[in-house]
Amino acid sequence: MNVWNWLAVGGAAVLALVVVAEIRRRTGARASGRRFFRHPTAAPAVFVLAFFVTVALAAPLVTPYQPYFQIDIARLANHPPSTQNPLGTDPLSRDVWSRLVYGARISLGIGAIAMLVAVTTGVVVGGVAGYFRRWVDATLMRLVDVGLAMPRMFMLLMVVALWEHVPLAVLVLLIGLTGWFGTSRLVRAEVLSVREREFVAAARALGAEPGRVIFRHVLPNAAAPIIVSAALGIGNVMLLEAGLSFLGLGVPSPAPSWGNMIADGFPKMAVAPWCATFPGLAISLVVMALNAVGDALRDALDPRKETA
Amino acid sequence: MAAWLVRRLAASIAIVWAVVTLTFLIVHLAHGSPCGQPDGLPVSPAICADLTRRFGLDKPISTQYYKYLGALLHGDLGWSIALQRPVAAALAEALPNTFALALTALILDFALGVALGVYQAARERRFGDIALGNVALFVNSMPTFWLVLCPQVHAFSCVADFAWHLTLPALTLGLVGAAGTARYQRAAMLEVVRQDFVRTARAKGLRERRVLLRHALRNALLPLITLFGLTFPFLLTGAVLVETVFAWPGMGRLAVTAILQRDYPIVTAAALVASVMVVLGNLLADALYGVADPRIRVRAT
Amino acid sequence: MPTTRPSSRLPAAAALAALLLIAGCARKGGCTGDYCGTLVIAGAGEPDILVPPVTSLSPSRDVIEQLFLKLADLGLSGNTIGDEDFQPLLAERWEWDTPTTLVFHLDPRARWQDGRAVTAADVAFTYDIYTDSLVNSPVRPTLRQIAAVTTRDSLTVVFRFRQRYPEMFYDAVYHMRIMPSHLLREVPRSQWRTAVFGRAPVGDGPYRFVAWRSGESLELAADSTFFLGRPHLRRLVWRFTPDQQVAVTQLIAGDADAVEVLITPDNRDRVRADTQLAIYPYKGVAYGYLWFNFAAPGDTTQPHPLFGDRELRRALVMTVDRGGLLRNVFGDMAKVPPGPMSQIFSIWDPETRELPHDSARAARTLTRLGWTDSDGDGIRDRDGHPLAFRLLVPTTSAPRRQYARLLQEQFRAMGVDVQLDEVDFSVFNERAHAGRFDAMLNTVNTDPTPSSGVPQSWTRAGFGGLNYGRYENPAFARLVDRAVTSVRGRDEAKRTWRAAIEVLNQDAPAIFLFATENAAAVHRRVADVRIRPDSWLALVRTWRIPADRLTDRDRVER
Repeated sequence: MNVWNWLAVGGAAVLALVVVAEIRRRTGARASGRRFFRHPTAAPAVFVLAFFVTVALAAPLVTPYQPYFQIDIARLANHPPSTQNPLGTDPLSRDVWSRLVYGARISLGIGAIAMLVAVTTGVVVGGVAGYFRRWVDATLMRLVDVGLAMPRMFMLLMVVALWEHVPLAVLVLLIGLTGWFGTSRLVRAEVLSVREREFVAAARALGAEPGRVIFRHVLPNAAAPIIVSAALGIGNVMLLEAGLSFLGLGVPSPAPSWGNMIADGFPKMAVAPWCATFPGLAISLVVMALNAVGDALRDALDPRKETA
Repeated sequence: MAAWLVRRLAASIAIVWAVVTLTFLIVHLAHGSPCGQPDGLPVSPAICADLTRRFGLDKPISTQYYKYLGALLHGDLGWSIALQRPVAAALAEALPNTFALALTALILDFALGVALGVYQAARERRFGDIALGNVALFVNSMPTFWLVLCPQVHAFSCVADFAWHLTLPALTLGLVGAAGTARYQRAAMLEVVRQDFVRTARAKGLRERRVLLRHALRNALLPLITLFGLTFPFLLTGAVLVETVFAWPGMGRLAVTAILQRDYPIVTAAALVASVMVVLGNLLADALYGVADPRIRVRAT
Repeated sequence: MPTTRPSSRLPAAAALAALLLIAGCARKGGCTGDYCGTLVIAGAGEPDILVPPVTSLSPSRDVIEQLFLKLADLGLSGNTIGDEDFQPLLAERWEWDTPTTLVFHLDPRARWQDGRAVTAADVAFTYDIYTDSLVNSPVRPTLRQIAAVTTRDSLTVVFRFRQRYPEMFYDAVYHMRIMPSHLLREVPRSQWRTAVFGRAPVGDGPYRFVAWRSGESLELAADSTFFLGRPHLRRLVWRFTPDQQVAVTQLIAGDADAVEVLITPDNRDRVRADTQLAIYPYKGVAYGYLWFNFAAPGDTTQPHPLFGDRELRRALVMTVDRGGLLRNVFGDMAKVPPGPMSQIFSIWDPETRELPHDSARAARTLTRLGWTDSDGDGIRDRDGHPLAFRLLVPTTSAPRRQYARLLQEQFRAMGVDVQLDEVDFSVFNERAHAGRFDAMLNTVNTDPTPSSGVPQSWTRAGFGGLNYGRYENPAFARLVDRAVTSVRGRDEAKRTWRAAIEVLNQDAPAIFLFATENAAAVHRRVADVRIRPDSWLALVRTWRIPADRLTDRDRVER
């Protein structure tokens, strides 16, 4: 790793700090923004996310090697961290730092896209079911029951293992489409309880359209669990990808994902622990940051707090 | 109540049927032949044809499906291609192991999770809450199998080691679960605590402990019951990675091995078992819902 | 609160169950003396079926070795020529009536474990099974020189050969394990692969079958009445692990006593650091290679669109730095083989001519063939088709997975796009056999001699059999045939073998990557550990644990 790479990493960190400060400044005028940053973990979490996103986007600047480049397979495999390879090299003598950075693109991308698919589907289905109840609810919830009755990992494994060559895009879509059942149940439960409150009953009594009631009155009040489940969801997807890769059915070699980096490093845990440790730390850190942001958002967006 | 139960049972059977059908389709639309031998020996064409006939793979998929359902109704789960033994026997071996693991983990998960959640809610924003919150957050954020990389993997043989070998996977599953449960529980408690009836209870001059445990907790258990409905089946079949890493001979590992080896009869049977468990878990969760929230009991009928 | 009530009972029940289980298993016994040892063997992989004619899996072989005897077996010298170096087992002696008629006299003390005597009829039955096309034993082709096996009386059996050749005795005794005809005669020939017998076998060897728990373990117990001497180790327990790494971890943790192969220097170093363990190096029987499919994937009637081209194959072979790959994966625990051979072969000759590692020449060849990167994506193409293929790899083999990734990068640097198909071992085999692959990373566990395995994998004789790549070259086949049947002495045979291998190397049907060097690790309390390279547990009945070194595991009563 040369001076320019280090400088670029420093630049990314500064940029991430600026992002945090800027968000803070722009939202400071609103009560919700102040509540968000009152959480002790909120600012560090935003920083972590901003840093990883920046570094991932600027990957060629912050890394000395291409992610699949094998530096010297005979002499530089399983090399511990050094100034040249700050996170060491893996069994194939690839630079772990470079793979980690390029892996961020893949892992974060998969997490974000799949989560988006999952939460959108979950919110729509849960909202509709909880609001309309009766046969709509019954039908949708039976569908959810079927979905929940198929363990997610099991189903994904089945498709990926039995159908040869499943493209990554399809895999991501499948992860998303198998991830909304829980969210929809939470949303429905929340909608069911919010629905009973006076202001929703009042809105309905005033003759508001169902769609309007759902989106204007019910969903904002159910926002907290949706956001918490979205934050957990994106993390869950990253963990799921790691799990699939661990079983050899995730992102195919040689593309780096944090999941397949752990999987590749796993057999060498005894001699080269850095190969699996750093990507694992990266996942944990990002998922933790997402969860912290979710928590902070949950408090910040809770409308009942406005009056409290 | 009886009518409710009958309706739920009917729905449950429908769910199991749907899952089995879906699995059957996914499995049978994939490539595959029963002629792959685990040892890679060439199989003579005569034997291959014989195997194909024996597993009925030469028939159209609809015929195979009806035959499978028919056998299923008679309690026949089929014959495992890879294990060369009845599927039922393989399941009978794996299920108790999984139950032991799931039960231990479940107890740890909910006991610890609820206790932590309530404690954190009571100490909201104070040191105990924040510290525990961050620890739970971190544990909840790790890939489960990565968490167990550090204590090196031990598989087991004799039943003598059963209790000891149960400890690590159960701890892993239980702790990770508890971290999540605590987060939900804390959020739910705080939600409830702000509601009017709790304020009323406080205003009446009830002691804080009584307010929290008697009034708030009971209401805050609602979302937890949903979580229970989700966790139960996860522990039974979704503990795939933990079972694989710890070489725990339970349902999860059996299912994964079967999928990877394309042992279709086991795959379908595992999906069947999984769905039955989930359905039972849901029934239980719904019954608990009714107990915990009288408003829902009225509506459910 | 009503909701907490059920859960208060569950821990109690679980604790009770756990206690019962512990109590049921922790009984300590008091075995003392010379015949107490327990050997726990840890290893990746589980037997498929314990019926010798239909399995070739090495875990099955290890167990079967203890259950079923051959007529005679290879000596420690490993010499397969003539009969001088062979050790009597079921046959107490033998003689040659004519140069092609071999007469075995069975040991009258030999018994099946159900009490019946082992007879000449069992030997004839066994030959019949091994050569039956419906049973389709993997060793059937190696018995093709035996014309007939007949019984003279209940303890005398006669082998007649089609011709005289150096390894005829080896062929008569090495491949077949005698089966109990009274227990297996009724099993239909097409159902031997699923025979119930195969999960609860009755044998005539030093150990008898006790229990097999799928996915966990398999146990054998010594037969104290074994006619060739009571085995010292009372119990043999195989413990199946997900991979070899876990096996070594168990060994170090004291959960296991023996591991067949350490494979990598990492494992060797871990074992070396443990003073309780001893390492026993022995010659490796495996070699691994990237196999090009000469036929189109899934259609053996068409040539492969890429690998039908000899020049292209040669360029791909020259692309790969085999020495570098080897150092990365195996360190000093393997050698680059000079052709399709394992280190146990006497024909191993480092002077054998091969294609060099020469990426410049490879690049020139590819360009000359019209494969250039015309669209600048880093991958060579011709007529709009990229130079790309898929490589079939079994997930169960860590070394091969690592090789696959290394090769992928070396080919990418040459402008060749390689995608990996990493699949379970059984799927790997199914696809290999069906020819549904472009190229595959294969490993072969060889016999002690090349004369049966090489023709099976590299000539027309193996089509539809083990020659998955469907390579054939009549010139090569002729040379091999001459080498196998040559009666003009060992040196002449060796020279002919070398000429044959050189013909094959020039055709580049495969990239020969590694030939392993083996090292077993065994707990130091085990004495008299002798390992025959072709089957590491062949002599386990003479291993022993001295009475003063017994541990609780050895004394346990069951």
